[in-house]
Amino acid sequence: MNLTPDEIALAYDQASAYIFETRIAYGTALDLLQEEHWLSLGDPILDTALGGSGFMTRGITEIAGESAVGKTQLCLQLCLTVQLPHCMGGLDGSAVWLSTEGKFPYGRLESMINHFVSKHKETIPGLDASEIRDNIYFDSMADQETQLHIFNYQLPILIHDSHVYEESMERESSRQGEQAEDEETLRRPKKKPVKLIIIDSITNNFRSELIASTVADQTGHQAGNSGFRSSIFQRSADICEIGLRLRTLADQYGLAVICVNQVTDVFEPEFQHLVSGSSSGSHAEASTFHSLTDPMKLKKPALGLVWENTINARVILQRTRLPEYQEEETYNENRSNEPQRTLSVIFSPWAANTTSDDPEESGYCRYRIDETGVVGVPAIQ
Amino acid sequence: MVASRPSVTLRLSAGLRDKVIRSGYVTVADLRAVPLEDLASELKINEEQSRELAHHLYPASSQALEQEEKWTPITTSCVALDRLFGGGQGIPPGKITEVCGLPGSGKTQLGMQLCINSQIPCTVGGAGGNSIFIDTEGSFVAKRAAQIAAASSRNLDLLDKSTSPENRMTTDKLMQGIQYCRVHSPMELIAMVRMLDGIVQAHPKVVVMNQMSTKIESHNDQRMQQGSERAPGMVHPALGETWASVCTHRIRLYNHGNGQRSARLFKSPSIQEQCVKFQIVSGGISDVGNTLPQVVSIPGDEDGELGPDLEENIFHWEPTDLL
Repeated sequence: MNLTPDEIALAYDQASAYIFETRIAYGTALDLLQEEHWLSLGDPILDTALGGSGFMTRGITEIAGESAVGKTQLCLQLCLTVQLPHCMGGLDGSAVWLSTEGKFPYGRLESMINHFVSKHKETIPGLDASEIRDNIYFDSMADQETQLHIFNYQLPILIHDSHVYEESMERESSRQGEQAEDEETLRRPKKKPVKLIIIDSITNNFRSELIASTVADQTGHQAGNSGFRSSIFQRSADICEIGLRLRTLADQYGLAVICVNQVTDVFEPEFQHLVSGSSSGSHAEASTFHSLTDPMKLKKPALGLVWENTINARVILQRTRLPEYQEEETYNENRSNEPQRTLSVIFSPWAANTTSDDPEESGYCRYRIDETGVVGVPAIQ
Repeated sequence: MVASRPSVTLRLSAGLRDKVIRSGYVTVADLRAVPLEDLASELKINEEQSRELAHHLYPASSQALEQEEKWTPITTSCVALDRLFGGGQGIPPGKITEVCGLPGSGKTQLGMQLCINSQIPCTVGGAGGNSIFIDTEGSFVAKRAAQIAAASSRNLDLLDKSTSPENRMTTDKLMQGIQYCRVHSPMELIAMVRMLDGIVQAHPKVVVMNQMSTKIESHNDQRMQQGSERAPGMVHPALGETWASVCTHRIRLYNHGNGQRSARLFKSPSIQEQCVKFQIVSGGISDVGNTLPQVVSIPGDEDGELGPDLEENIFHWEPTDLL
């Protein structure tokens, strides 16, 4: 093809214009403000800590913490609150639960559903336990291959279908008018569009398979190290791909994406121990926290900087080992042997992090877990 | 100095040079002291000659300087941060500024703040423009932007009480002045940047400040394709040397925890490398110890230098985050 520079420029411009019109969402920030939705945790104290309205949609939020801090509990709770109507802080949608860590906690969900139904029975008359159950999709991702397949094919289709389904339902009901709701539509459980994706946990497959590949590499003498390197690069590429998929989905359908992350040890240079605690020099410190089992150990969320750049916000859950590490007064305040649990926002584009003095915008709160779910504990004055 | 240069040395045509010297203008400074029109009538020169004289008296570089002075820098609402850029008034227009930093260091917050600050009306010393935020990450949260806009709006009201109600910069107006677009892939980003020309022409006073934000965020875009590419033990801004030579200013943000944040300038044509503190509060970015963000900054009232202990720690990073 013999194209003149002018023709090339024209083709380039046309292509850009086409992409701009068909693919790129463009508008003023004011429009955006009106379309922005938030996913409440169903508890005012927790919501306040997260900047007032809960988790953001259209982005990825990470919940990190050691085992047994309540990550899964918090996610279960979100599966319920997402089904609330918009006026109550929900998204009037359903949830997808993708698990890499064994079975879905059905038993726990069941008890939470019961409490949830009895709590909201009066405000939402049509609330029904079986309907809530139907609006939580579960799939397990046993290995990375399954995981990629789910992210690339199954998840987008499920989400797309659920949104299309809702639109068709709306059209149908408007066409039929009010009186003609036939029995079949009534009997069909009401399926809501997917508004929440929970991945519990994002870390597991990456961790287990990274180790597997390094062990295999050690059979060759020097290949071991380079094999590890290349698997690290492969992992980074996979993390980025998953992040991109999730973000695109989240933006397209206005989803909240919650990824549970595990933690890893932090190895500090020796001298920093001597400075004891106050040595918060590099940013690395921002995400680190003290371990539950050994307060001298520092932990931070796993998967490193690549993942950190992929997520939009990070929330860390912690709990202390009680009672021997607790101060006298707070112990009385707590009046039980319950461990003290805290939720802190490490970074997010919408909520303050843990540094502010004002409790209204501290990005920090205490919580406890009871039979109803995760409940915020008011700050001690 | 150029100004004291003898006027004989100007490369004027013979006739013109004769007239200039005979009229007693010894140095270039003397010539420049007189407006061009007066000079032309005094020397009795024709139009062509006066143009020639102007060309030599006011070379292109000084015209560029004049233009640069005409464009208002965009304040970051933090005096210390503003001082990192030549002139001390904020992000310089007509140039590309890169802001980089680890997650949570405040890049997005700075972007949002600048989007709003670019709309400060000319009457109070702002640029009086609009802004475009190109979002590659989905990190632009309108609720947060509205919060900053509300704070700025209140500050502007305090600053300029004389404005009539319809000229007030309300939160809604400030939010409307931000054009937002979300791009998902490098291809879309390229298309978007190509479209900017047209968008800027459609909005005559747009200040495309998110040239900057775009680019930071485009970091992450590239990262997606390349995986991480950093030297062990240190964090580098992504995109490598090619990009490093594209931008005029580069600053890097740090979050030291406990609300301590700092910014380090590490590439600038005019100011030496240095480090300043800033903070992010509910109303946006501000100086340390100042709870209200300052809309128009008054340079030179606070010392924002970091202590040596903080500076030392800045480039340390453990390689363990790979695992």
